[in-house]
Amino acid sequence: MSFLNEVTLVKRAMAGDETAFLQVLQIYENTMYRTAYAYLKNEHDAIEAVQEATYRCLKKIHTVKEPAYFGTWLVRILLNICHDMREKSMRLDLQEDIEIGDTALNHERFELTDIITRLPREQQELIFLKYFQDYKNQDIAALQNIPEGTVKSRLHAALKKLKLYFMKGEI
Amino acid sequence: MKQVEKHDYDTFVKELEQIDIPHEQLEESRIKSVMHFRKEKRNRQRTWKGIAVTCALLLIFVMSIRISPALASAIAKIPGFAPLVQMITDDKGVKDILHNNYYEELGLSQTKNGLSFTLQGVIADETGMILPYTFSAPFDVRDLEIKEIELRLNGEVLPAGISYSWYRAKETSLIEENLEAIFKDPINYDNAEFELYLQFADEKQTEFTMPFSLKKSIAKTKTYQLNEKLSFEGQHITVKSVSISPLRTGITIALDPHNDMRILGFDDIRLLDEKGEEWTTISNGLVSTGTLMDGEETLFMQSNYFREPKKLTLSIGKVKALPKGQDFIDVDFKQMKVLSKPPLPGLEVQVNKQMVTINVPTSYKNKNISLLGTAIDANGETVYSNSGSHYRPDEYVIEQTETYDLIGVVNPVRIYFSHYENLLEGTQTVEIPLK
Repeated sequence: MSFLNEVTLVKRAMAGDETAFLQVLQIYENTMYRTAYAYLKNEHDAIEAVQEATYRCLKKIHTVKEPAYFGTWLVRILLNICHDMREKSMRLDLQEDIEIGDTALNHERFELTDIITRLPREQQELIFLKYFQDYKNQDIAALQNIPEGTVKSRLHAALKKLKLYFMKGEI
Repeated sequence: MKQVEKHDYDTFVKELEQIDIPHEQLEESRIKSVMHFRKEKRNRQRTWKGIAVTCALLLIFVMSIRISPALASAIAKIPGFAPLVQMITDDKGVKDILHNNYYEELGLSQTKNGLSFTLQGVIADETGMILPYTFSAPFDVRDLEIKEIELRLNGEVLPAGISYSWYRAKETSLIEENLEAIFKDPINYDNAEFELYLQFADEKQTEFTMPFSLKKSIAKTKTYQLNEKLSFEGQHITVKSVSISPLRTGITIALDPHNDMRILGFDDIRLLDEKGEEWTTISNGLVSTGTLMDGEETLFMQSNYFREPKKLTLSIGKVKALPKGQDFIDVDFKQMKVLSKPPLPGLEVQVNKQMVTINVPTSYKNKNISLLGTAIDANGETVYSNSGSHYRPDEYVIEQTETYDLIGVVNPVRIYFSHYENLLEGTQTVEIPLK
């Protein structure tokens, strides 16, 4: 699917065409799921987050300003949901303090993604956009309405923080 | 430093790529989201089940502006009239109601949990009520939803279809709209005490109960029995009766079961008085009860109740019909196949999962038309649609996607057309004998 076709589909979806909507969401299926998984670390929660994001997206799709940046808009919604879900589950963890054996393996496998999800939300968004969605600095700048230089410096700050986490091995 | 970074991010992307994707579950979750969204959308339009009410929602084409914008804005400034302004421009009957002082002002206000609700007034007749209201809050209310809505008569819930809708593209703290109630049977207005009950879906589930009674006497519906037979290219219909009340004019039409074509609808139906002034169908509100599929339907039009014309003529043209046997498509959802479709020019049909997508040519511009109607499964059970979407790829083709609820449905499913621009020749008229 070319980019132009995608923009056409997004426009149709915005006009209320549900078939087009489902097609666009299918294009973003991998990105959404992997992002959610990186964040929440299990399949069940990741699917739930994607489902909730899909619903919110459907409800608010008429507010998309720039169809070309639909993907980013979607990832932002998803990150917000993941963040909220994790906050909730953290509160539960504190109370119950359960040791989860099964996920330990996964944690090692996804060490880096795990650490990234500990960054503040804005920085994570930058990293997901830049390295996973392959956006250029200037696109991110246009999208968030900030100068390109700011994008660069914010990315740099995020990277620096990551490195710190790596060296210390904890947060 | 740079190299380390690069390495880290390659690892990151690789890690992400290792995550397996449960495609099937994700597809399921997408469909669930769409269903959830539709369910919520549907809940906004509550309709009493006993009457088959077809509501034409948001038909955003204004046929012509019938009052000047200056007058409209002047009327909008009178308290309670703002919600009615759009109706006046769309419906001459409502304009007459206001001119004839048939509108009853109420101005009942209540404030709870920061929400303010005002019932501005009421227009009531034997067929229903229009209730203009305003609603405000110190926050954005465009997404606020009504959870429960009831119209009570002397303490009992009225068996009425109540519809409301508001759509605002931008943030707003004020909504000015109308509720429209449609009664199944005429109600007795003597000593009637009404109550409008509303519950909003806000955090506190705020409830409003607005008691009101009417001082003005209710205009009696005028009914004319006609039983006039008309024929279009050998297809017969009977105009059984015309009934005129302040809010609407109902025209009951029956089809001849011996017709070899199925009549889908009438695209041009009008009432004309002796001066040639026209009243047409209602573009945003109750359109009909009953369905032509079952052989008889009452179509609703704008009312000329207060005009007392000397002469009234009903004109029917642009009758849409398809030969019986060519008025449906057969699909098998399990095999995702179209089993049969009539050889109509330009017709395209696709089946995908529980969705049917259909393309047909049209000569209309900017008109939302529903192409698919009743669907029946192999056991003769009705298959319900979770509603669909319309899309116009270009000006002369309409595309519609309808998604069906397939739980317990036995394939194949037969889906009848509710619209096709196959028009029968001629326009016929009926004189209405005014007493």
